[in-house]
Amino acid sequence: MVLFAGCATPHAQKRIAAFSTALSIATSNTTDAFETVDQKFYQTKIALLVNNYDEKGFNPNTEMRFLTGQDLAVREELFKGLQLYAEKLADIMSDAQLKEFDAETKAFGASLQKLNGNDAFKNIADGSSSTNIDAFVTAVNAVGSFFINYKREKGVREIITEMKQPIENICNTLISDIGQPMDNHGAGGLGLRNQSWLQYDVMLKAQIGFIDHNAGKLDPATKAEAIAKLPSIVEEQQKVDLTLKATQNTLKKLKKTHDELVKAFDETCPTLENLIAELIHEGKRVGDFYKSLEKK
Amino acid sequence: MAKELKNELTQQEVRDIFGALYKDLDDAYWSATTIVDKDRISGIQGAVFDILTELNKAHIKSNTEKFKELISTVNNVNKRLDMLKKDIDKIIHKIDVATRVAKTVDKVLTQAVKYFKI
Repeated sequence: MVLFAGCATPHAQKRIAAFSTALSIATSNTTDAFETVDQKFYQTKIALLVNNYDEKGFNPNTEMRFLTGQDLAVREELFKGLQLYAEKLADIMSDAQLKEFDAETKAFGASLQKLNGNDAFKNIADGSSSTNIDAFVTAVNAVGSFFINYKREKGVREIITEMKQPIENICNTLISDIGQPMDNHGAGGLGLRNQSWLQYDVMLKAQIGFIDHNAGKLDPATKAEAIAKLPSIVEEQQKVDLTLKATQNTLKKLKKTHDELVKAFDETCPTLENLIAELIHEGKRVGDFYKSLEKK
Repeated sequence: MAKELKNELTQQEVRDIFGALYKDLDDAYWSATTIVDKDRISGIQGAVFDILTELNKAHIKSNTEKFKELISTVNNVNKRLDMLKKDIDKIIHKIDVATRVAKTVDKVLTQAVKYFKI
């Protein structure tokens, strides 16, 4: 009975850990993506300010940030919520509560043994052998573990199945946040990748403008340094875009690891190998518990 | 009707229109041979960049609204996980109660034997 109740546990624990890792990577990469584009937006604005200062001066109302505090705060809150989701899943599917239950049943067994040794109790009840009490406590432990496993697996299965769609929506929306640069005809561009690509483009032209306008005033070393920046801007433009694209891949991976988590609970011990693994897992736990009673 | 639909451009269509303009200006910029021409073109391109920036911002902002709804879903699920953990704790707590009962019975019987012949 215990075996069937604990069917998904070993798979789920591994997959929750994998989901948690994927989540940390994806959220930290996405946060970096936003910060990078925002920081480069600031640098682009500075480059434009420097180039246009003689004609336009500085307007203190110029927006120097790409993102508003609210856009970032909402995403940060979402990431914290997801992190909490992974932590709570790991907490429930860990052996912590089963260990606590083992400790409680052990204490219960000790109390029964003590009661059994009480002279007054012996007089009013037929004394049970200590072996019988150990067997009874082991049975209580096995039944209790079954209920714990059954309850948590049923509850967690329902929750992660319900979360399949929201997780997909979250990942897809974050992927859409990052978007893509426009093609050669100017079509299809959106999100952070489009913004980033344009920013580097503007920075490149600002740098060219700076060199053109100051060609006669710059000393050779400064001029060489300014010119050397041009290919590095183009190179960085491509590197940042590839990094943003890689971030989208980590989000796709996150979606996949959550799907794997759902699958862990969909599987009803499909292979003999899994059955044996689960049998060993649960059998060992019950065996260890029984041995721990004998040692006391 | 069809005319009305045509007038309502999607966000992406608007981005594409300005994107195409930006690219055309880009071609013109790289073809220009004088600093004056380059300055003039990059000046206009700068204005298109500002518009595209606003459109990219609008896209992020529309996603922010979607995330607000998703946050409440995640928070609700986290509350349900808390409740599930509490339910499991109740099973553990029941054994704890049984232990306390056994201990109390032991204690009562130990004291009772002093006063009654049991």
